[in-house]
Amino acid sequence: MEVFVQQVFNGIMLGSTYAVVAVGLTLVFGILHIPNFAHGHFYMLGAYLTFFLVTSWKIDFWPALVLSAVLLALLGVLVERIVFRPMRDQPHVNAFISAIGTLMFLEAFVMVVWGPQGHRIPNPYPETVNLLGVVTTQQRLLVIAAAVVLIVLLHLFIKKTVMGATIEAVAQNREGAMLVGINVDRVSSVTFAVSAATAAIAASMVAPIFMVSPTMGALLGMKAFIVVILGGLGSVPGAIVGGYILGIVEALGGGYISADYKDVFAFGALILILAIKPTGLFGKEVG
Amino acid sequence: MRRGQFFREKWPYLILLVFALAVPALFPSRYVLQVITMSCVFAIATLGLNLILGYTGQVSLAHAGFFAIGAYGVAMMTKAGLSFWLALPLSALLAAAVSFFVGLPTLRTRGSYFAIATLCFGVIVSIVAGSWFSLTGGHTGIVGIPLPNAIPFPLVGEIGFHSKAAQYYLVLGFLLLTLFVMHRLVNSVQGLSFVAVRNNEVLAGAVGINAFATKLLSFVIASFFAGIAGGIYASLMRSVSPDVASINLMFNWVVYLLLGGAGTLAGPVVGTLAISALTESLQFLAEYNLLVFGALLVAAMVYCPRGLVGLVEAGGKKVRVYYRRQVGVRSDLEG
Amino acid sequence: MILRVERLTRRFGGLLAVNEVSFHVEKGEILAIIGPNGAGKTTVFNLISGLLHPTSGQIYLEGVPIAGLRPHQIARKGIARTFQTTALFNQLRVIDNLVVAHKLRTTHGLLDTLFRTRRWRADREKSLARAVEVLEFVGLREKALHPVSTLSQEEQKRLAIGVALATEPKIVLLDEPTAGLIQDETDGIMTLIKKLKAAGVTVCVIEHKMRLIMDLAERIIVLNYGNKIAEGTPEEISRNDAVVQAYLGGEYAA
Ligand SMILES: Nc1ncnc2c1ncn2[C@@H]1O[C@H](COP(=O)(O)OP(=O)(O)OP(=O)(O)O)[C@@H](O)[C@H]1O
Ligand SMILES: [Mg+2]
Repeated sequence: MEVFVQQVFNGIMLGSTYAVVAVGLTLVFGILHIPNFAHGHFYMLGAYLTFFLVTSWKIDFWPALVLSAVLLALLGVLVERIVFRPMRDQPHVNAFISAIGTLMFLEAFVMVVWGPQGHRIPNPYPETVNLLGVVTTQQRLLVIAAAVVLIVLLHLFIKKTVMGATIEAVAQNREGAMLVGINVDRVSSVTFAVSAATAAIAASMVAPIFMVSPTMGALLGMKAFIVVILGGLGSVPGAIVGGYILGIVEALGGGYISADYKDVFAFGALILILAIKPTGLFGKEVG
Repeated sequence: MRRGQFFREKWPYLILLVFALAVPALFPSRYVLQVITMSCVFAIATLGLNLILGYTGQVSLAHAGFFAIGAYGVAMMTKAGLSFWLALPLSALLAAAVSFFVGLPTLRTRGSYFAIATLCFGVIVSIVAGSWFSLTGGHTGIVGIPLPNAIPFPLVGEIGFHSKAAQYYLVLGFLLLTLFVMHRLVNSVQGLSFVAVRNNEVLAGAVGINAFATKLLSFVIASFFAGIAGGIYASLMRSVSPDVASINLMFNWVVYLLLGGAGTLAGPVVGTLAISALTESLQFLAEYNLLVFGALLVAAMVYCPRGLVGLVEAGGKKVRVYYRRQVGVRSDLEG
Repeated sequence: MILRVERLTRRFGGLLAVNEVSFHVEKGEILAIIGPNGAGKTTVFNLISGLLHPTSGQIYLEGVPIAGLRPHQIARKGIARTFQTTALFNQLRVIDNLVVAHKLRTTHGLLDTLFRTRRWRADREKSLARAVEVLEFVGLREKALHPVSTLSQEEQKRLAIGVALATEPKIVLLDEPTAGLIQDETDGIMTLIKKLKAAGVTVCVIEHKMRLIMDLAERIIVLNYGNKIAEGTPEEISRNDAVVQAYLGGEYAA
């Protein structure tokens, strides 16, 4: 029983990361209809920037995290402008291939600058806590709390701000939004900025627990896509619930069945579900 | 077609062929020849990818998975004592059979969904290759794979594959065979139906083309050639590891294909050879290799989605129009 | 009677796009379907051609029920169609559009293609011959080797009809073949449709321009809000009060 609770707790922590990253992706993929396959690499780069700021510039963890998020937001805007905007009227697969180019570039960039080996960010809150019989560290609890805060903030942003409302309008009807004078370019930029920044925050939060490495983004990016497709394109609640479910399933599968094959379950499940419902569980279609 | 006409039209290809046959003489360095040989192996894989991605318009990211199935298939079968010449077609057929069952569910999806579903399959293959120790040797993989068996020839004796030159000719033979098959496929109604499905699936259905079956056929043939390439790779490298299923390998092929020109026959070959040559000759780039690739891929998608061959064709068209005017148009529906 | 549609119904959520519509098409005739925007005309074609499945009702081709089949199966059974927004394989040459559209009448398989067997060659000759015949019929013979993108609007509409004919259909469904064309071009297409009839092809055509329909169609059916509100000869239709109210009184009076 204790092991079970411990695994569920680990799953929730993993799921927090998945949820936040998937929400960022669902904004871009589901709402702007851009299959940003490099999203996991934004996450990876965010972790590296925090690592760099903390270890080389000796900045404290929290300011480093904020700075990393800001830098990633800028990068998001840049990538949208250079890579994805020219693809807007082209077949969907072209944007997908551009995204592959982007992720190759980002991964190679990190390789060149920081080398292929993993690095560790000094854990700012390493003290262990005993929470209802689950032994954990403060940092792990922080990951979970930060995810909740971030999700609430994103929700408020979409529901309560003008920009958020605009994004929703574009999501529902791009042509219509253009007709009423909404600047689609600006909406795209802002969405990318928000999406990349949240990925950076999620990455920076878990970076002190796991290692940072150039390949950490690839698998996570795929999982985020799985969550988004299963949770329903463009659905923020779907991405959140899907993220937590994937995290818990993975932790339990890894703990009880096989650590080696834990990802096989997630990926296999996606193929099976798409076989039954080609547009995803709650899917509306995007070309 | 009369013989004279044949030579008049095909002479550039004959020159290329002579050049290809002379490669071992032109590049005596074992290392260089090895690099060229391996590029040709990858060109076979890229030609396969071209069929599904270029002609049929479906971004299959499972290609490295099928390459791996071919590679592990040949590795296991030849180590078990089977002849390479039997193991290779069997492994390729295995890759094709697996792709049939992977295609059934995944080809029901479209666009990015298909890309992601197939990528999931590719990752599953690489995880299984790394984890199923008793079958695949885990992360170390399988070593000591025999070279292709020598072919007995009357009079000449046996042709073995110990020399780099012989290995090169072996791969060249398979590359030409692949090109031949692709040429026949593409220059036929079957090939037109691949493009028709890519171009407009609804219209394709309205004129009686079963888009799903067409995509499945293209996917299976593509995977068959991925399997062939993988099998040859295993036998010539003498070892396989889960790296043969890696996403990066496949992303390289995507780069070769897109920069060379997807949906053309020359594109994948030109792309593979040119980019391999470029990365080899710019050794100082080695570290920045993928950095440059990534940027080039994006630039290609933005500025010339039809790749190198597309660029050359666009230039060539002007020349041809001029030429036609001089010679007079010959109406040929034989195309 | 080639085509018979019985109590055909299609719902989109709360919207009844087609409601219990029945009609039939006789061999060799031109039947026109008219009706205001959103009346459900294109939806009827989509249902017949298998792009959509009916909520209820049945469609018979030469007495055989075909509702529920997929588009490519229906095309093989002999129903060809064009689309309201001209659909062509614009990445192929003109002649290849027709050759690929004739594929459904060929029997060769993958191995025939690889080995270029006699069957493959025979099929190829047949397809090319059909393609050339169709090109001549629609008046695009000299454009055979051009890319689709170099064709004018009207030529593209002709080619789209040609693509339908290349499938050797028993009946062709034309969805607003003159949409977006100017007067002269429209006349050209009309002449082509008459030529179709003269060649014995059965045609079912959706058309907005009343004037054209009047001297083209043997019979007309009128749809409004998914319902069939009238059926008859052109004269009967032009004298029908319901039609005049729903349709002729509107912006489309010609
Ligand atoms: N796939 C669909 N999903 C939802 N609603 C649809 C779909 N196709 C058509 N409709 C609706 O069904 C109704 C009938 O549309 P349809 O296209 O058949 O009209 P139409 O008679 O062809 O009009 P037009 O003259 O403008 O071409 C319209 O209200 C349309 O919005
Ligand atoms: Mg219509």
